[in-house]
Amino acid sequence: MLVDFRQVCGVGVAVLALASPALADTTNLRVCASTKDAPFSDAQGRGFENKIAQVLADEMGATLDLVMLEKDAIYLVRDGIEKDLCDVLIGVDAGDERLLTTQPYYRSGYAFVTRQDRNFEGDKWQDVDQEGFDTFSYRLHSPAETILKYTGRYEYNLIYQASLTNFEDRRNKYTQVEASRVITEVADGGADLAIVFAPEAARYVRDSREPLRMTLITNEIERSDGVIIPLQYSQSVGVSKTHPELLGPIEQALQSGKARIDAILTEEGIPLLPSS
Amino acid sequence: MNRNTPKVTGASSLAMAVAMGLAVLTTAPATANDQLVELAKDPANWVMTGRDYNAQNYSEMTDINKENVKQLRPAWSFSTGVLHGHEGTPLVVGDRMFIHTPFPNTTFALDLNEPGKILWQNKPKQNPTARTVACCDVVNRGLAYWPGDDEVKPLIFRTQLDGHIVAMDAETGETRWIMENSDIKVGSTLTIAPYVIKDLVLVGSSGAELGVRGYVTAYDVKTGEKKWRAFATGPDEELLLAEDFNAPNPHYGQKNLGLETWEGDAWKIGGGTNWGWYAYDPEVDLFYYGSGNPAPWNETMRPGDNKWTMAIWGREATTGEAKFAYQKTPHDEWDYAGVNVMMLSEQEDKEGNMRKLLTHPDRNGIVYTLDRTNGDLISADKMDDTVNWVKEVQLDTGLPVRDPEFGTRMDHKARDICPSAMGYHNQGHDSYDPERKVFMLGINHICMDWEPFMLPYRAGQFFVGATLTMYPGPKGDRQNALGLGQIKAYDAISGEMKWEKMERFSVWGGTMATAGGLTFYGTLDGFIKARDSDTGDLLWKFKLPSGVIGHPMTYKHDGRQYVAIMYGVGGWPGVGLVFDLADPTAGLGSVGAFKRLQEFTQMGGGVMVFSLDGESPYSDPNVGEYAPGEPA
Repeated sequence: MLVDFRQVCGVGVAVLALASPALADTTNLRVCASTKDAPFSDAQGRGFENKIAQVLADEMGATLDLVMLEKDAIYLVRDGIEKDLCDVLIGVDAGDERLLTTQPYYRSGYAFVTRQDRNFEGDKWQDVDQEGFDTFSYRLHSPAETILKYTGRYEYNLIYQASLTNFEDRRNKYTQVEASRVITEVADGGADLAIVFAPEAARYVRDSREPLRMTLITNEIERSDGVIIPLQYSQSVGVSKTHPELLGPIEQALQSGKARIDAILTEEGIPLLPSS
Repeated sequence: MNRNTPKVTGASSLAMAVAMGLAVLTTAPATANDQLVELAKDPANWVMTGRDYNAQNYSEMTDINKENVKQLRPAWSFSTGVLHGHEGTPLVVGDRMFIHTPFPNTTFALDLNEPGKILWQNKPKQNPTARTVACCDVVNRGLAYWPGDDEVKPLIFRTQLDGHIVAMDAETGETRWIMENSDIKVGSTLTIAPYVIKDLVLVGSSGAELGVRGYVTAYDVKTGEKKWRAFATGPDEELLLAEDFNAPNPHYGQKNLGLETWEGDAWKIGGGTNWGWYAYDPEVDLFYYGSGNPAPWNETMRPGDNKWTMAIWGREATTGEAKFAYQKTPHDEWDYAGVNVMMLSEQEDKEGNMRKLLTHPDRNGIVYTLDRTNGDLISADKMDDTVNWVKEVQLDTGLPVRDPEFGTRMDHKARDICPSAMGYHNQGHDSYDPERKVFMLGINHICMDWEPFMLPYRAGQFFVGATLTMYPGPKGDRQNALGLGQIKAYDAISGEMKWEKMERFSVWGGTMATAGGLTFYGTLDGFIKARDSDTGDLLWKFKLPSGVIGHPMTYKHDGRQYVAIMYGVGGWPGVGLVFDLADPTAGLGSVGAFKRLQEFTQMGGGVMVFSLDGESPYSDPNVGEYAPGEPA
């Protein structure tokens, strides 16, 4: 794999920022990714979005400049794009207002993950409220919290969930449960059920020695104030608003590389939904 | 799920069974609190954390006074063998001193005739998980004493970080019963000092940071049987509101607000724990305490007033029923947990009417004084003129008039909010001098920047956070990160400060006043100091082995007055030092504010006792000597 791979932090960041041209150079595809965002991206470049980044660069005839930030992925727009360390993020919600986004290249949703031997049935978010399913693993700050709150299961589960981050003080610091942990908790019997965005869980479900069942949730949440919280999301490539000229070539690359990208998603085991 | 199953272990199960049997026989009304009142009348004793039910931390003794305080010298000392923060103060009843420690929460009894010998020690086995669950060091705030009756001998009560309340025989230290009050599996810990009223022992709760729904619980002193539990949030029947709750002050709010002031079921994880101090008026038969901050910490996640967090409560001890509650900081945005000390006094108000008062220096920088019979708000003064989140507290509505510039709402970086999240006053147990009619306040002089942010991610995920930076208030030295504390003498009727002095660090632990005209307190950098209660002049000080976050006490033994204080730096201001943290925003910014503390003190833990010229039982060097052949 020909990846121009940079561990960027500290001095590296400054140098790169200084070197960046005013107009994006389409021969050099600058993609920000996180070292702590498996399965999307990790420090070794083994995330499926790292692979997709390479496909895009290949299709564009560009060199991939994968700018790795040693931060949680939630900071990539603020600390990567907005600081002009890079121009592109591989996976964002279609229509993310902070960026220009391409046509979605896949769509998936939140899912329930249980051990197969638990015979869990149900594909509505309300179905988490079942006898015998009391402990839930999920990633923090996600609609999984809303599902548990609305089914009356959140409060009881709160401290189990806190144990997954070793009771780290959440007051003014971003804490997160690794996606792999959310799934191993289910496999090991620590949690009865996981609620997780399927792309985050797919490879761990696929690789689990304990057979697991992953069921996409089919409905959406209507919040008490009437706001709809979708549980299915289309994913697009995000481009810095300061470089709109990149959008066209990337759209083209998504088209020409579609077969390769689909193969990566399939290999990952992500349950895909028809684009809406 | 019942989280309150009694835990009876090994040897104590017999005692438990005996105790329960005895409880059945008990028919006479309780008189123990009369006994505690009597015991507290003798200035030789210090029978509860605030000395007596008025929680005045005031001693009538005058043997040590302005004239001779310079002669105070160490008489004896005791190491608890525990590092970390030592909050609270020891108790003295008759010939005995009872000493608590932070986790592992060992209890010691010393014989004051020969303090070099430990009469008994009771060291619990605790789930070590408790250490990780506790938010701000592993402190404990003290013990409670129940004087016994015809059937059951006197008892000592302690709380454990792992959420248990324990009754021990005061004579032998044997565990009599142990109950789980708070489940650490749900993030609930215990740091509060238990409190005895009649034949009940009251216990609060900790862990609002983790979403614990706060409550206060009363247990039968003899059996550990739970008598009642009152929550700070939720339905009225779980709040234990009296029929006429807040009837004298309907504008404080009355029914159904524990639900209506929250969005959805958020009250279930709404915080409002109480880990501060109690006070009690046997005539009115109400006890007083403050409920803490709402959860979750970030205000945008919990729209509404979030009642009844942040409230001053007056409850009947026997039933737990609340007669009044006054919410000081509706919809808290700053973490101004309202658990601070309640000091009771009887004073003439501005109109010259004698009133029963309750005075409470709150974390939000306001000192509130209420009529403790009905909750009427009498005064609400700024502890320091630099308090800026609020312009004033309206006495007629009880509402704070906020300055939006110093709010923490989204899309606004608030600079120089005073006080900081640590409050201008935290857990310190302060004192009231009834002769001078002033409250001696130990104060934090710390402000903060608060930068909230909201970061969206993918698939409906987003993070709401804030960056906090703390530093000395405007009267301190911001360049050098010193001048973080004050000590003041406050008149609750006139609203004036009789005197005030700056301190290098916060006066975190509280004060003690004496009829000798002295105000004692300990400092974070490890001094015990005595000031002239009339002028604030510094008359005496002594450098202790470690910094102080507890409050001083005084007792008399064998005709001699002693002053004692616990040392052992830690607690919230010491988290950086204790856990060796370097990030200035860690500990919600405490690490940055107290970055220089380590230049002045290091960890330690124990009790230091002083007397005039250092006279003690060991002034006769033969006391406690080893004599071959004598029985041990």
